[in-house]
Amino acid sequence: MGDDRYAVPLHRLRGSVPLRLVTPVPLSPPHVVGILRFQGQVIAALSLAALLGGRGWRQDPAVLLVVEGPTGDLLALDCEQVPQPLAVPLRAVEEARGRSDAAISTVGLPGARQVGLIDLDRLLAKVSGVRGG
Amino acid sequence: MADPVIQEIVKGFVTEAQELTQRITRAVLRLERPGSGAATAAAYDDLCRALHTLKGSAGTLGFTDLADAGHKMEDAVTVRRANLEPLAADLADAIFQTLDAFNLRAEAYAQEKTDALPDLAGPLVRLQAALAGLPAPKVDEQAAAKEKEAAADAGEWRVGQAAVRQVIREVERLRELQLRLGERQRDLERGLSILARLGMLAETAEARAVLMSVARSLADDTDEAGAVVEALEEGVREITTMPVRTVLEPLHRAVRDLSRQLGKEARLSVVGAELSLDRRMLEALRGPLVHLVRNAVDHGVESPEVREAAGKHREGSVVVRLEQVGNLAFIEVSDDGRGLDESRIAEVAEARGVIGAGEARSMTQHQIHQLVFRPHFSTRQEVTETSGRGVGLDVVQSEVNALGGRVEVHSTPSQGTRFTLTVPMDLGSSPVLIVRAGEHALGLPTMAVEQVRSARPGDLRIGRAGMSLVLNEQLLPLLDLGSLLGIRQPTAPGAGTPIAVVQAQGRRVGVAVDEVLGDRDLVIRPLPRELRSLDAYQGEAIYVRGELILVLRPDWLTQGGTERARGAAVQARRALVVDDSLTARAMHRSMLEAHGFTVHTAGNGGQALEQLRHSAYDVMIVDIGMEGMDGYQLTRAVRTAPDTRAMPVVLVSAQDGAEDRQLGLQAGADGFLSKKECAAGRLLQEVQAVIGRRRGLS
Repeated sequence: MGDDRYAVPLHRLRGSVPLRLVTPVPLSPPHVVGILRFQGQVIAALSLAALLGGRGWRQDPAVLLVVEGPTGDLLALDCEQVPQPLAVPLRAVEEARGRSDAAISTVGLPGARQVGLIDLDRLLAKVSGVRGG
Repeated sequence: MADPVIQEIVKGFVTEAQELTQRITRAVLRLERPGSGAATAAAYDDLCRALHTLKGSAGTLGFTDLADAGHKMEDAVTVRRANLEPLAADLADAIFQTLDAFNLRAEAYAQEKTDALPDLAGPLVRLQAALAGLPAPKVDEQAAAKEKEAAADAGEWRVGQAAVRQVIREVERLRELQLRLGERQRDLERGLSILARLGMLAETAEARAVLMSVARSLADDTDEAGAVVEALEEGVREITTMPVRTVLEPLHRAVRDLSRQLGKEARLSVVGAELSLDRRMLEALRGPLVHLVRNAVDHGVESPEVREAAGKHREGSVVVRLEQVGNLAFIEVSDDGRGLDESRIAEVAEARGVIGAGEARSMTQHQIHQLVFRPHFSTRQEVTETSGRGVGLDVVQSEVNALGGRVEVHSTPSQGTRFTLTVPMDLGSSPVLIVRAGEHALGLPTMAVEQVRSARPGDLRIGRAGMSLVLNEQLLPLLDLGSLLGIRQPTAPGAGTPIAVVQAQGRRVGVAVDEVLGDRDLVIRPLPRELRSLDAYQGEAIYVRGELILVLRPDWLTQGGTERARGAAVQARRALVVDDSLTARAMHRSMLEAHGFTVHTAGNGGQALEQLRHSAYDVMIVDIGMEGMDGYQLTRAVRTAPDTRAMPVVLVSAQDGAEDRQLGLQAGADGFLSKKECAAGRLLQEVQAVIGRRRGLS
């Protein structure tokens, strides 16, 4: 997204689909892109950029990552490019997560690249449908 | 093992006994209250007939113990009937207990558990004592509970819920397939009319004949598929639903028993008991309903003396009302009691740390009412058998939420309290009217649509409070669906604009839409979890070509929608975001709304120009690289129209090239940003800067 790279845990990924045939939902919160059908069920598509607090982006997202949300339901997050699997040493992941309890923890990779590890449960905790009042 | 035929008859007897029990219970409840001579006589007649039938049926099957119990109840009632006396409460208690034992014992016979028959002697002793006016002997509560539990274990055959749900899903898919078949048939007919219009009638005659035959067959197949789906849906409904009265009947007695225990007088009325609703849902709602009804008697209804002093009837009224609209069940539990004590709720909430000190002063009435759903909240100072443990309404709310539903509470001091449970159901398809507002296709449950009419200028009134529709000499609020959904400014409907008259929860409104697209039987499913808090929708449905449509909640239109529209109208700054990327629209909206803008969106240049014809905006943010009319063309079009000539325009580009920037400024844009620059704050800065510059120029 923009100049930054982010990663989601592979075991939470259920699919990667083109961002099309998404039905917008009027009156929805700004982080909601819309709803779409995925393998027979209807799921919500959310804007990763909006969830991360409105960071800039380089090009319009064209891909949706379908992931398992905190409650086990599926939902989709948009991203600019088809993602690639990347092996990150477990120790580096644990160290990065240990440093912060934020939704994103940064891990350095060889070649001075930085990747923001997305903790889906933390990121989606506020939007996973637990209704208040 | 008994003869299977006899066993079937015994099972039938159990069902008959339960139905007779409900009739007897109703009659006993009526006879406990003083009534006119004729009404009392009629109730006694009904009671005696039911008891007589109960006794006779038991005797026919050779259950002498049950027949004897029926006989004793009949005897007890006959004594009172002669003088048309009301039934004493102790005697009514004893009859109820005897009936409970009677049914448990009948159930045990049906299950061939004759070695462990529930006790009937105890209740009969209490019946005799009540008849003689003696105090009731003590009941062995534990033994009674055990017997009840054993009886509840009875069953026919069981199918896993997951298996039934899977069948429901497949039937829903079949309904969607039938819809698509219908659409294919219409496509084929459209193709045939195009061929006919082209005029090559001779050359295409053979092909048209074949296609017409296919169209006819397809129409027949579609009809047959529709009939099959309807039969399957009916079958599924039969398996998955049960009459609401099975859950509500026992509440009559619960109200009666609790009132007696608390020294109050209250009567339960049920509206909609004839409905059949989702079995799992009703089972899950049994506890919450009992809780709400008991709460109404305990917390809501005042003592007879207090009620009389307040000018109310000494008997309190508790009403349970059920309604089904599309895939939603509405269940209301209301009372005409004292209402929620807001100051007491606030005081207790502060004392228990549920809210901070002084926080209640800034809370609305609605927010204070919501505090009753917080865990461990109770305004009762003492723990009683009925209330005061602080466990209750939070559990009601969590159980209803677990069903994907919601609970709302409304209360008026000294007039009463109303809890509304809204729960989605798996119920196959239901008729939906499909309408268009802007680029959105939306559904309205047909059951809530009284009529659709074309707007005529003479029928419309526009005043300070908003628009109204004159309908049969009545004035109804008139709403613009597009503005209700936040996609444009409120627009007065032009002549011929379709207006759907929607009714829900006793209110009616006119809803102006851009177009009526038709009506279909659609399967409405709940929205994904992330969107369920949106009040506007009762779910989504898959339309004829597989596209998703959102189905609106009629009660949102008749209530919440009105308020929302009024609230939106007072916003100060308005922005129009034009971008063909949903994500980009979401991002811009997010940033601007966070800083007080009301944001409307358009997916292309044409839609934007249409919006601008009806509405004025303080700023427009336009993507350059849109298909069809690009951002430069849109900006030029805006600059040539007198109404929008001075409107600030910010162009946004995926590229960050100087050439794009130059072209944008030449087209008349006030600002330029790359999408990369649209980081939080940057877009807002640019928007505020261009608005400021334009104001400086004017």
